[in-house]
Amino acid sequence: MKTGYRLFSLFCWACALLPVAGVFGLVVFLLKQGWGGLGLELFFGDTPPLDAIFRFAPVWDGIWPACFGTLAVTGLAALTAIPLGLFCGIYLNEFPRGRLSGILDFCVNLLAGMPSIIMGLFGFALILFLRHTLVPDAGTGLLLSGFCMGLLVLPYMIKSTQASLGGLPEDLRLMGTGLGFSKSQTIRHILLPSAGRGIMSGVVLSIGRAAEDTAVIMLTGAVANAGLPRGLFDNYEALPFFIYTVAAEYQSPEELQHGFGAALVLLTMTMGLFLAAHGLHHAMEKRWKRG
Amino acid sequence: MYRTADRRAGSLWLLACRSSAAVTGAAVLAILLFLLWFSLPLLDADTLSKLLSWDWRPFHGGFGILPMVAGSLLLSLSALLLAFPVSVGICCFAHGMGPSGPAACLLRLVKFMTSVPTVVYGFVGVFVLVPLLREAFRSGSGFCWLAAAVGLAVLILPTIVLMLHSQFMLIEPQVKLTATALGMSPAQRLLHLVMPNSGRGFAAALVLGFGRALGDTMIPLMLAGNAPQVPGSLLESLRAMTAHIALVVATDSQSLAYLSLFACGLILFLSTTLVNLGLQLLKRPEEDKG
Amino acid sequence: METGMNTVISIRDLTVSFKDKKALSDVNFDVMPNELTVLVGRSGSGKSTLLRAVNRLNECFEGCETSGGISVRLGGETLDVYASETDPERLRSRVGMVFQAPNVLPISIERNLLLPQKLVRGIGGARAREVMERVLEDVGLLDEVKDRLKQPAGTLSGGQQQRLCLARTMALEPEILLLDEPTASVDYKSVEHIEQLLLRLAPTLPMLVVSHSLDQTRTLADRVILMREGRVAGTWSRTDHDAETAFDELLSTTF
Repeated sequence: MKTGYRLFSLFCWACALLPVAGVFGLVVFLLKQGWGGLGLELFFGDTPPLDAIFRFAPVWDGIWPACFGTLAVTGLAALTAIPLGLFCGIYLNEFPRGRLSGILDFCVNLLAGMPSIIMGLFGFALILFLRHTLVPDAGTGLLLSGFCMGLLVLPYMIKSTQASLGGLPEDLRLMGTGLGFSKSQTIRHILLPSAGRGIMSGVVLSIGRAAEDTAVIMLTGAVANAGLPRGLFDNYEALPFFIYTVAAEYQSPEELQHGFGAALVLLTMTMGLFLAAHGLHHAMEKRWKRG
Repeated sequence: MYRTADRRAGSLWLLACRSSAAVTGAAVLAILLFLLWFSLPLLDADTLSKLLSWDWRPFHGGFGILPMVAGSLLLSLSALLLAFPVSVGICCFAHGMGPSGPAACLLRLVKFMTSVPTVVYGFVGVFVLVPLLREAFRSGSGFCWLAAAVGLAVLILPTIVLMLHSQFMLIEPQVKLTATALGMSPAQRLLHLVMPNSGRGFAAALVLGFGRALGDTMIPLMLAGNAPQVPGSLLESLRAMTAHIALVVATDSQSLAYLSLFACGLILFLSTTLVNLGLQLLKRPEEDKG
Repeated sequence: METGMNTVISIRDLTVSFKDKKALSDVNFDVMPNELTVLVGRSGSGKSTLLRAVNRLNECFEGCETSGGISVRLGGETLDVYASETDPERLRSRVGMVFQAPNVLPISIERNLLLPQKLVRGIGGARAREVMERVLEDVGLLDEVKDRLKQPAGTLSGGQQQRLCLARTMALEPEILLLDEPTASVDYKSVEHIEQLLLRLAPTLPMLVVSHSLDQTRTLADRVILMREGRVAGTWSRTDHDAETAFDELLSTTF
């Protein structure tokens, strides 16, 4: 029996080493391959950076358009998901209505588990539908992607709002009632500010998720070469999609290097957002754990 | 005066909350409705039989999606097979088999892994895993079932570990001090007390991991080869439903091809619903016990 | 302080702190065989920490630092508890502990008694069942549970659970028994059972008991050690002169 336990111990240690090796291996590999290409040329190619950013000068050889596209989609997704998610989360946590809340909760869980390609398919179906009925020349674009992406990250926003409000000590609500506040006043003036950091953490998490997803944008407007989008209904480039196309069909070592560079940029972005969300969540817990 | 103004603001807030809830519910409904609407042509038995075949050759009239369904299932199950034992090992390490300092760091690292975009995993897979397989087995291009399974396993590992961890945390506090005082080793405690009592958590982790693997698009798309066939071996190519949707949308084709997309979408939607129902069922009896 | 061959537990200059906060400072005393030693003191005086120091259970808590020494006499040999060669798991199997609140394992009643025997002492089958029935009889539970051994231990009442925990510890046939307020969360009938059992065992099984009850201390103690703020503040022995008055004086300062 002793050998059994020893084998188990070895197994656990071996398993524990795998993620360590994996993560470090991944980061080191990306750095090794992409380090050389990091720099302003990665983003802007031959175009001077300031022109590219402020005067929308076309960039031929850099990932700036992809970065811009990602920023735009993420921004639109945030605009959709944050208010919607915030209010829905408040509703679910503070105004439970028995059966209805149960159904809504199930819907949120369903949305949370939905494969992102389905979201993209939904967007695509929406365009098909519009083409056949109201708007014959409807096409995919930034707005559609933003909307679908917003739906994708909505559950994250709802759940983190719910969790933050739910984690507040009961005394706060009693305090509100004691002061003569109505329910919505308690929420607005006491609960939301107190849960602020947790909610912010949810916001950051949602943004991170929106920035990295590829499947949704693939079906709703991201393309390999579009330059900067002129309007909300234009196709656009995006970082994750760029990374995918490089892996699928790169044609030159420079392009490959750009791919590695883009991967590094995206990874840094999502890791940074993750750490920020984690830090905010931690700060919130620290504040209320003593209660 | 302030009171009434604030009251009005209050009722606006209530309205905002209620409407947001309504919109969310409506969104889920809308997704389902759109999928159903575009899948309506499936109700024709002839079309249905065309789609439920094993032959996908759109230019020759073959629109069978069954290879993709099989592909998704095989891939998800194999990823689960790889990821689950490793997750158990990691969780046990974090709960007594390893020293407490490194154990805490390990959990933080696993949590951190969730921040890596799947497209980056796919990208690294294309340039590290695929050539590795190509060299090691000297058959095929390296884009195969095995490559995608490994990639997916890495992707779902944190999901499973964190689910198991939260399950262990339910049992550990009661049991750890008692078992230690009795003279049990951490291995005995984990193998004979913690894990046998975590059946529900294990089931939930399996279901969650399976759902996550089934729903991913980028790793199957980038690593599995995308041949619309049922693979004969681990080194052969396959196509998942998610990848199928991404590929077919990109090519302008006839309407039966598009229909296959919605058929796949419907299947994926249904399986997500089943996964969720399963998780709900697993959760409920625990509340009764308490 | 006599460090004769007689002492069962010998504590010297024991200092324990958790994350730089001192729980025990320079504790010195002995536990003799054939004696039931009771530790008394206000909450926070370090009684539980002291108990846990003997079977090295303090190490399960974060930031624990222990200095000083404890030696125990097990199987005719003296063992240095904190020596690096000492295996804590083996130590804990021979020094039994009962906690304040009942902590049955989340398994059936009979497995609570059979599993530790199997895993810690390698005893299974018929012999383990014999031991199980014997200890259940000792704590007065056998009649109450013999028809429902396979039910979860959590279905028992608080007092029954605590008696089960005591039985479980006894099943491992420990050579020293450490009890941390064993009747604190238990009904009156169970208190009686437990106290009677302890008195019966005391001549053959050295015990160190933490108690919060004046009556219990009076009933059980052959020797009383008073703790205050992590230090030993007084001792009393039943064999001392002026036993009654000294005892009352000691206890009045505590309770």
